[in-house]
Amino acid sequence: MSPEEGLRAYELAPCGLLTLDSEFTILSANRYFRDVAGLSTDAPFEPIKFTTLLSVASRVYVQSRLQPQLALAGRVDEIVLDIVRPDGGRVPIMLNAVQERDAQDRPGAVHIGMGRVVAKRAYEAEVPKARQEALSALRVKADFLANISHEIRTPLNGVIGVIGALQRTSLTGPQREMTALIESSATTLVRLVGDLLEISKVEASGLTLDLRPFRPAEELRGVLDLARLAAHAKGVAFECDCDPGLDGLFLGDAVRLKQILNNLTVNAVKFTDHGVVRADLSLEASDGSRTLVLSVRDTGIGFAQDQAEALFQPFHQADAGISRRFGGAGLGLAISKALVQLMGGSIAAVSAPGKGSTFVVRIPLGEIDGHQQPLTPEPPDLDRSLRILLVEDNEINQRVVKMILAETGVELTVASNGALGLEAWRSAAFDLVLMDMQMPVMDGLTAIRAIRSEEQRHPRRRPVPIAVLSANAMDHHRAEALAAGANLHIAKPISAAGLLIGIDQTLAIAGA
Amino acid sequence: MDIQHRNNVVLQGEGEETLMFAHGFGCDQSMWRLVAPHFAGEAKVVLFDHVGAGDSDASAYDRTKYAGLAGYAQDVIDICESQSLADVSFVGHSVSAMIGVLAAVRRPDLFARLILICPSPRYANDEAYVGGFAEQDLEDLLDLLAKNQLDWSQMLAPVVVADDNFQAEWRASVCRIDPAIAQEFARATFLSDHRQDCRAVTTPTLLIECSDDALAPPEVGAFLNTTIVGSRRVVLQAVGHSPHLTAPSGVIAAIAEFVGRGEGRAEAPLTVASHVA
Repeated sequence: MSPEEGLRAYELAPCGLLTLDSEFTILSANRYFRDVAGLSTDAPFEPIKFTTLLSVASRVYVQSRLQPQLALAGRVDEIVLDIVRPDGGRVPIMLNAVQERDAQDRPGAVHIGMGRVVAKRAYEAEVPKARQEALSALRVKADFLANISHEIRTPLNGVIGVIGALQRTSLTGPQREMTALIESSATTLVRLVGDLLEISKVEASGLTLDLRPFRPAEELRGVLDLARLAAHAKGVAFECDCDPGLDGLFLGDAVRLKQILNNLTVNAVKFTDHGVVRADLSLEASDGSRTLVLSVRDTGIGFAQDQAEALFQPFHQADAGISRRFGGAGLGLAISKALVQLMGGSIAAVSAPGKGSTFVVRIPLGEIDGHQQPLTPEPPDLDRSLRILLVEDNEINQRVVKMILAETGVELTVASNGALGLEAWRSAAFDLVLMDMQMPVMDGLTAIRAIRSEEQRHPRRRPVPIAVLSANAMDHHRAEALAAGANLHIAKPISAAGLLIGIDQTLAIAGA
Repeated sequence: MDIQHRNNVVLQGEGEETLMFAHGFGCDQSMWRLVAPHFAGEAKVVLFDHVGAGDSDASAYDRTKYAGLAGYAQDVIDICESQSLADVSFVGHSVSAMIGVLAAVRRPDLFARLILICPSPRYANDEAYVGGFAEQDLEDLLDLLAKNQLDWSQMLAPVVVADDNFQAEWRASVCRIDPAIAQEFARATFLSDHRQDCRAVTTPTLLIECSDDALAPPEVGAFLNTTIVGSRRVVLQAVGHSPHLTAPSGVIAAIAEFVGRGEGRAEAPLTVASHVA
């Protein structure tokens, strides 16, 4: 390259090139730099301090960081600074610099290559925002899960309520079986929705057991029936065997057991295209203790044994392609394992790729004297002609209650929020109030407090028995409702039996 | 707590005098390499890294302790005690100048002299006081520091730091600071106000400043000279904020002269190995 060419390349280079002395006085600068800095490109270059072209912060940075680093290391890379042009405009730049050393090894001339980075800086300014957004998106996701679960619960409660009402009508045997299956599935679904909230935090501690006397064979048969239907729909055979000992009465959480068995059978059917799915329900007895053994075997795709443990982690499937092929969130086994552990049992999987898999669950069960029959209290007959005020905003729930009470001779008045409910209560006498918690205009607790406070001002008016209907079955909600003046808390989903028993108990508690 | 490990304490040389060098913000003890060796021939030289810098133990970082400079001052006292140091000539650069002030006010028995290089008790202007910066300038500075070295730690650390080459390069580099800690150190440094502490100094003090220092303008030097009773002030004809790197001979000469004078002691002056400007 001739000197002229070199000079031309220097002057026209599409990046800023400049040379400073050890005190950072600019000795020379090419056109790009002079352009960016807003210096005249025509007039001869006047020696000025590099730092005078910079923002205050950049000047400090050059002196406190760049200069020492150059002195120590001889070079710096990717330093971001702000040039302030004579017209006051700021131009973000990025520079690399090297420093020569003189004969005595003292810091010498500094050579800088730089470019303007307006777009890059604008982009970088977005990065922290993007990160922030990602974090809040996580929160939004958690909130979304919470909200959607709540939203799903409401129609589900409707399903369960209607089924309860339907079961109280005259049905044929097969119809009764079908409604029992629908009810069982819906009840499991309600629990699943609740679990989704907990498992989204990946905290098994959020899962709880509700131990009641139950007959395993009776409860689990419904799950097997559903599995058979699903398997046959796929052209897969389904076999099952149930130990007669399981007809007896045991203490356990039937809904959770159904959930576990359902997870296993659904998976087995899902991952099996040919052959057979087999479920064995057996009872092992030793030293007076009883162990329920659920074994589900399939001839499906299987998995490598070293993946077995990972399968029980939340959101995990044996390979990522599986969720594309088969769908599912990968939560079932994680929940099942948490539940099994909660019950003091164990869950294990044996498999090989292409050889099918076998899942075995072992759960200790408490046995109960089979002659006791405390399964479900019989719903009482509300033989009196009761006047009941239902305060509930959800139409489905309104209809469910109407259906359940339709055959009881109850005279039902419906108000669709707390304020309307209060008005209705003022204008007529009721034997009982059923109050929803969350409602527009005025919520249930406020309405109850208003009713109780008016009752106190009019001592002649007999306090009306109030039962709260709420999906918030947690203890503090119950306590809140009672503190507001309710007599009883009836947990949603409303079932026919639950509602009738609740009404009966409320009347009893209130001494009506 | 192993203080030596925590602060990567390095001892060099032997002698009656003890010189302790404390690096400033944005660097580590390597910034003393043009100055400290000149004293190691005749004095005990103590070098260390603040927690988060150089080869210190970053796991010892405690946000509460190090939210202000007092935590760093405690570390200086810890080092003196753990090494049984006495009559220490403390050489502190920039923020470490104030760290030295805090340590000497709390434990005057440990320190014979304070040598403060480019010190500033407060960077922000305050009514009549000229610190050199409007509040906005300091916010800009913190932002710029973040852009130049801190962003990557937050945005890219999982990717970048996992890269062996990058790690090796970083380990071999000078002026290493943990980026996350540096950000908090920057706040502790640039938003602090230690003017009152300076009034309480009883230790003989030498102020060394540069004639053209964007971080500590001459008004700050003048303020400290009147505030720290009996202090001496040396202004080096130098550009920048790190004269021990850009004008090391001037710094060496000033320290040697001040320490050698003994401030009332009768020791012989230290020999300075390099040419004194």
